[in-house]
Amino acid sequence: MANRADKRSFSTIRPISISQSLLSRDGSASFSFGKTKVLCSVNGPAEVKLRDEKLDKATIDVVVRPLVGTPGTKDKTHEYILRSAFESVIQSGLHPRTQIQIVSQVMMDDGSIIAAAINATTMALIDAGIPMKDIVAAVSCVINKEDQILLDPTAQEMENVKSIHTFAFDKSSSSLLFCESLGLFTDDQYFNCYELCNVAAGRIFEEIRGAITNKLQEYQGYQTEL
Amino acid sequence: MGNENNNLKSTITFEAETFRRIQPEEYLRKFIQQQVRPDGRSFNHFRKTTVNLSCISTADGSSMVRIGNTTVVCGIKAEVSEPNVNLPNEGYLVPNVDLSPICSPRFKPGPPSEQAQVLSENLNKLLKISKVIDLKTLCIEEGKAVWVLFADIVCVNYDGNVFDACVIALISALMNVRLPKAFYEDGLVKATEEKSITLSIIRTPYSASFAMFDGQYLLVDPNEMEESITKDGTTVVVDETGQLCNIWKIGSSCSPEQLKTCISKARDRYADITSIIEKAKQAI
Repeated sequence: MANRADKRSFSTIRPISISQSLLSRDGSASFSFGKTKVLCSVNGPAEVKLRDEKLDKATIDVVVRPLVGTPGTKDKTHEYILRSAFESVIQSGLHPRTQIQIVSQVMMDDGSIIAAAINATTMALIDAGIPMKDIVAAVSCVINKEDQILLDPTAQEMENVKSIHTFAFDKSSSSLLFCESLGLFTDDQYFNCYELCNVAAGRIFEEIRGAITNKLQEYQGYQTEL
Repeated sequence: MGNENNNLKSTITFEAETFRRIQPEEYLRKFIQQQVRPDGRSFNHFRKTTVNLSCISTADGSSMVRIGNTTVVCGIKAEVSEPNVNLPNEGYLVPNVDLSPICSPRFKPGPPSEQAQVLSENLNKLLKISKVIDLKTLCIEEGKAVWVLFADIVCVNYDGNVFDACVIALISALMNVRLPKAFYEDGLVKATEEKSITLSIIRTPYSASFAMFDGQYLLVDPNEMEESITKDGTTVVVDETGQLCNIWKIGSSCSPEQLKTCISKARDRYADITSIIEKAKQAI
């Protein structure tokens, strides 16, 4: 089974590491899949520019910064993806006429960068205490030339493939929030990827839960020491 | 008259237009509950689509696409350039979408809006990963000169579902491209006057977009108003063999069954677009 370059099986995600409250912002978190790492900070609800003000809900502003250079169309697309995915889960109606700013900085890109950015944003929003209806987790997969589905591909595995898929699911109903599938694929392949990523998203939710529990336990330990 | 005045005392009534402006979502919901959309279409009805080929005589290939009131024009200009060092025998195809203030008051003059950039990026990914044309056929002399096709897509009127219009415009304009025969001689590229060479198009993908309202009503080919209210969009791109090329979904949650419905509707739509383009080809 294990004939991937890093000795993983086809349906294994890379080791996940999550850390929270790294920056002195309202909320921040970093999320990594192996060598892919995204740092995300959340500010808000804060004052909003008059031009962007919405009377009935908070304005969600997303900024994606690439590792090197200035943001291009790819980063704009990632901003659009993040905003549309999180607009549907953040309870923006609770904070009308304010702004919630999400800044996502790519630290290392070794494939599945959108998925890592979505997961990092979920963690940072939780860290900032922004009210949400649900939490989101995302996973990517590719179908290679031999029609094998590789979960959580590295940058190397994303080259010369038949199709690339990224799915984001919510936790409560594990239904699809965001999907981007590119390449050439059949219905069956698509829904196989869907199922595989849905299961993998469940594992990410467990990791998220673990990270939050750890953080709270540390905090409680600190409180009792005092 | 007297009766109406009595009614006014108990409930406030508005003109439909006023209601639409102050409560757009509720306005749309009232229609949807009656199984109809504000413009009179049923849920499964695509707007009238027309394609005009060769509408810009100065371009090497062009087309104009209208889906209802949404109008986009695509012009393809071929230029000669040096190839990328890593890919010495491949040309370039550069799509660019322009959403200028003329098409809708929501766009401001200046650098391209986020939506325009997202559209350009998605078209670029579609062309690249689904391999719509073989870039090797754009090579004039390996490592020296290749064709660069600049595909500029301008939205003239924005009334929703611009991505579908852009895809149809781009693919039909690519079919319409006629390049001159080019030779590479002593560091110079010479081209014949006559333009006769067509591009070898491997795949002709067309897209179908859907909006989801209240998580259960699937509206095909949403117009600008439906698009701005629902915010949940699904786009499915299929090719001539029925294979999927792209699925893009944003907004709130949706089930696999709903996705399957979108896919099958996209396949039905594909047949319609093919016949529209065949007609347009005959009309030149």
